[in-house]
Amino acid sequence: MAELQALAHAVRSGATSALHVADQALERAAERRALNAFDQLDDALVRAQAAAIDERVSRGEDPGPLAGVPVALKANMVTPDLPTTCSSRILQGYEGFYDATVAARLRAAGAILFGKTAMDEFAMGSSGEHASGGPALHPTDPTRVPGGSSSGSASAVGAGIVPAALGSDTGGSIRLPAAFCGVVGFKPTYGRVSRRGLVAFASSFDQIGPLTRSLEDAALIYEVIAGRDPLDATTVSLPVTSALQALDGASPRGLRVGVDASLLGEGLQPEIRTSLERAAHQLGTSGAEIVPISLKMARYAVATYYVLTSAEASSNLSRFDGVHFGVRAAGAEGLEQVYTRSRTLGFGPEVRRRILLGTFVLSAGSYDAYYAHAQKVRTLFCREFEQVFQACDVVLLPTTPTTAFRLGNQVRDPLAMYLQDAYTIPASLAGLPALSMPLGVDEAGLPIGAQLLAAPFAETTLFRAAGALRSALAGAGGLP
Amino acid sequence: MSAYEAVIGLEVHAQLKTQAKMFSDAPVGFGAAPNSLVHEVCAGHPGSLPTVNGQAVRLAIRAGLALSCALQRVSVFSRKHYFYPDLPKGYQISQYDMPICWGGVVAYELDGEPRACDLTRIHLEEDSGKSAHTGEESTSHIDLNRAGTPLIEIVSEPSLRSPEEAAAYFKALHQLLVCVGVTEGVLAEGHMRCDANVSVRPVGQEAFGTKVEIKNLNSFKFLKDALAFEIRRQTACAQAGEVIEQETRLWDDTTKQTFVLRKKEGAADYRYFPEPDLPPLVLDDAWIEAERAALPELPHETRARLQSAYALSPYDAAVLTANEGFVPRLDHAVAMGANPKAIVNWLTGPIAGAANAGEVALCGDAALSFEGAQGARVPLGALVDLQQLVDQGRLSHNLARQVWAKMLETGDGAAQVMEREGLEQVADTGALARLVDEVIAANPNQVAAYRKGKTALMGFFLGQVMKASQGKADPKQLQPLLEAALSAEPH
Amino acid sequence: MSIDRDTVYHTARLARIDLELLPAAEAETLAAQMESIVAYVELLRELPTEGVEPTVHPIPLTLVPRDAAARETPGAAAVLASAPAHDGATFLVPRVVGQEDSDG
Repeated sequence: MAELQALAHAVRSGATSALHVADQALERAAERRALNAFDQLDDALVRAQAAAIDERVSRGEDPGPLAGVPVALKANMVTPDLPTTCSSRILQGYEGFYDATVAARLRAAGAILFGKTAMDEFAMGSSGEHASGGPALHPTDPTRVPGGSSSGSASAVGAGIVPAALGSDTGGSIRLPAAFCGVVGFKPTYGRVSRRGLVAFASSFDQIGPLTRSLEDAALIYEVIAGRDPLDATTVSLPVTSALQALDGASPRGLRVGVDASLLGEGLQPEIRTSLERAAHQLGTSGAEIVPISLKMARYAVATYYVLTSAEASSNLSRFDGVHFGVRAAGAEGLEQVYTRSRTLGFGPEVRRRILLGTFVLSAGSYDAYYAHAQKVRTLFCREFEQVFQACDVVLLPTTPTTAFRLGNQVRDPLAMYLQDAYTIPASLAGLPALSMPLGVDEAGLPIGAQLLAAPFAETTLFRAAGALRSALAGAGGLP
Repeated sequence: MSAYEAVIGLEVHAQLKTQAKMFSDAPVGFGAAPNSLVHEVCAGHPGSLPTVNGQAVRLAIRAGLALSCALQRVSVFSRKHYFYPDLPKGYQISQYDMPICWGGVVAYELDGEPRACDLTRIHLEEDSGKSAHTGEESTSHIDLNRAGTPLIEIVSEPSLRSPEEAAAYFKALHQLLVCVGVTEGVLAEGHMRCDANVSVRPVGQEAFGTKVEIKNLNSFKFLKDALAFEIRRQTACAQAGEVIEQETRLWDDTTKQTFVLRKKEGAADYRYFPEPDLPPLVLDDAWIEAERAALPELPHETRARLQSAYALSPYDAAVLTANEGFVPRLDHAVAMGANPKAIVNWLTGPIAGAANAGEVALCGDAALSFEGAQGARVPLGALVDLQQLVDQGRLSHNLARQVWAKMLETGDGAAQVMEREGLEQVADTGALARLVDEVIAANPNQVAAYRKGKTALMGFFLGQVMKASQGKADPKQLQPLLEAALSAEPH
Repeated sequence: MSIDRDTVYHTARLARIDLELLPAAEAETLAAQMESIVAYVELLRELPTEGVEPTVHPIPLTLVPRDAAARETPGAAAVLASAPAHDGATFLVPRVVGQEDSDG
């Protein structure tokens, strides 16, 4: 039984109290305050939720499959009881007045919502360094980044403060930090999880998913939060098939695993390449079929992604204008200055860059050449994956080109930072379910992640493959 | 000096008659306390997402059918970006290159002649909030109650050529949309707002001149007046060789002039792109058929039918169609056996007058009743009975009106009132002859004058007999009787 | 096609970002970064896309219009609570004069 299930079971049975679990998590949070993983954490609020769970247990009620489990939310997920800042100056102190659907579903399952984790501002970033409250730090090496944009979520789970956190993934923002911090990070198929209450970055890419220490925990959280939401027109009505069951006895036998050897070459840290090759080999010897595939579109992924997501972001962030919510900059004379001062001074440099790029590609005269063209290129990505998944069940590739880099290394060169997402972006373009799982460490002891992709809505296959990879690695000599 | 003609196109925004807003389930309303009809979606709060109001879609389908548009099975919502305090998201969700309807036509009448103006398209969109300031205040106040209200925008081809045509078009469009239940159409509450695009060109030239947009013409009169002014202004400019600037203007009804709101330095860049939070709108055949089946007879169809079925004049047909409840009453009365012309006279005469004065109300009940000022109800059948009494010669038109008034006071039936009030017409020839003899005997001078040639005195005699009979003499028989009696030699 | 300095400033204006509010060096860097990013995405020009449909959503979605009854609203106080300037009933902004589409 995985950690979350065991924990919930203990709370439901009275073997431990939710308050005790909460207090321990709060203690760990206090001990690791230097990680800067949390943008908001209200001890009293956490304790009050825990006390309420204990009260229900003592009345003989079953609070649900996540009873007493502390789950951190990312700072872009709206709840009415704690500010939602998106790690941006423009939303300092912003208090929403409704619960994000995922928050409501977690609550209904008995979970304790444990603070809001630091992130790259408005989810734009791959390191966590674009945060108004300063970056979250890597859980084992504080000179390094935890990855972004779900930086605080990965850091908190990686450091063992909480057993689970929600992140959001637009181009890799769950998977990349999960890989850097040595935890599991899962992005469901686009449309599986409601985006209502998630502060939008790129509406046709954003998905919410779990960061956990085990595959079972990720599957459990997924099953709690997934499913159609009538308040989000981009969620699908398909039933949520069990990912947990797929892990049960997951075997590599007969699994077709696609590997594109050309992606394991230039630009990839050698230790990561070695780990991936060994993983593929172990899968093969355990009975999986390694199928050579070619992801020719991969080299266009970053460019396509940045045109499309910047466009959507520039649109979604138009609402931050210093008028209806958020911060209005001081010294504004007249309405125009309310807009320009609030936005220019309230947004950080990365957000400003993307707003400019996005506005540019949508503007008259540029639309056809950039935005419309990129939408068609996106179709080519979808088509390529359709072909690929005829030949294999899952695709195995690296999550990141390097392990966690040092603070300050990439942040000066936006393009270099964008290329960190090269392996994670293709799944985002095609809306595929994708998962990063730990694959060991490099010579500096920094975690390496392996990424698995499956066809749209094939979460069951994806988790089966992840379980199979885990057992193949375990069989070969021990890895989480 | 060359003659110029005007080219006019109208964009009408009609508020759909729904309970909830276009892209959320916040309530729609007018006159509520500011920001009380608002939740996170219409306030554009972070994390909020739009959904699509099914009732609004069905009303848009209904409008498209009523206006003979080509309904698009697949249409797409788009974002239209601009910064303004009454637009909290910084964009409006509208439809751009794939609207719900293309084409269509508005049938209207001008000077009794049937006309038609083609439409370009109809699309769905959300309304913005309202900004207001008082006097010289340097602060604007924003109320988002209206933000998100469902609208259809109906765009006409630039086929209108005069302020009269434009006003007639707007009026007919208003009547049609109210008739089919798409909008409540209360102009004072902003349910239909009209923007006019107007330009002038020398007669015979094909190319259009520079167009000026006049916004917010929310009454038929303002539309006509503003267009008339603007056409004069532009024509004068053109004739003087001045350049007409592309501008947005408003109508000032106090000074009776249009004035510049802003210059259009090039078209605004709205950066339209497909709304990523909403999949394409695919219309179900079942919805379309349901709306088609629910469409009532359209006003221009009714006018045509009334003219052909009952041989009514275009004027009478128009009056009947324009007054709510009149046509069903005419149709039902005829079905009960009444003479259509007589019922039309009742409706367009005393009933229309009383309804406008607020003295009678037309009820929506199955009996198609009329309700008097004191709340008494008279079913349509009672009016039919009353008219039958006239047809039988027992009541004159005048007497019938008196009976009708009493019926509305008491709720009693026609015959009952007639007998109780003693209003039955005197039609018995013998009784009438006696009255005539009495009057002749009582007025020897006038009789003499009449016999000497002053035939205009017939009116005097008619009046005298009427008076003697307390207004109950049958006028149809009177005149021949009097003539006969007066022309007889004195004996 | 690429992006020149004037276009950067025009684009910023459209997005209500005022580059003059940034330290001169930062504005300069931002403009240069824009130019290099736009140059980078020119890479996409290599791909022929005639006859290819654009993708808006990567998975098939069906729009289901809602027939929900109107939901109760939280009231002006809650809506205005996070507004930077309000008078308890309305949002306050410096007076708007003849700007973008104002109406009614």
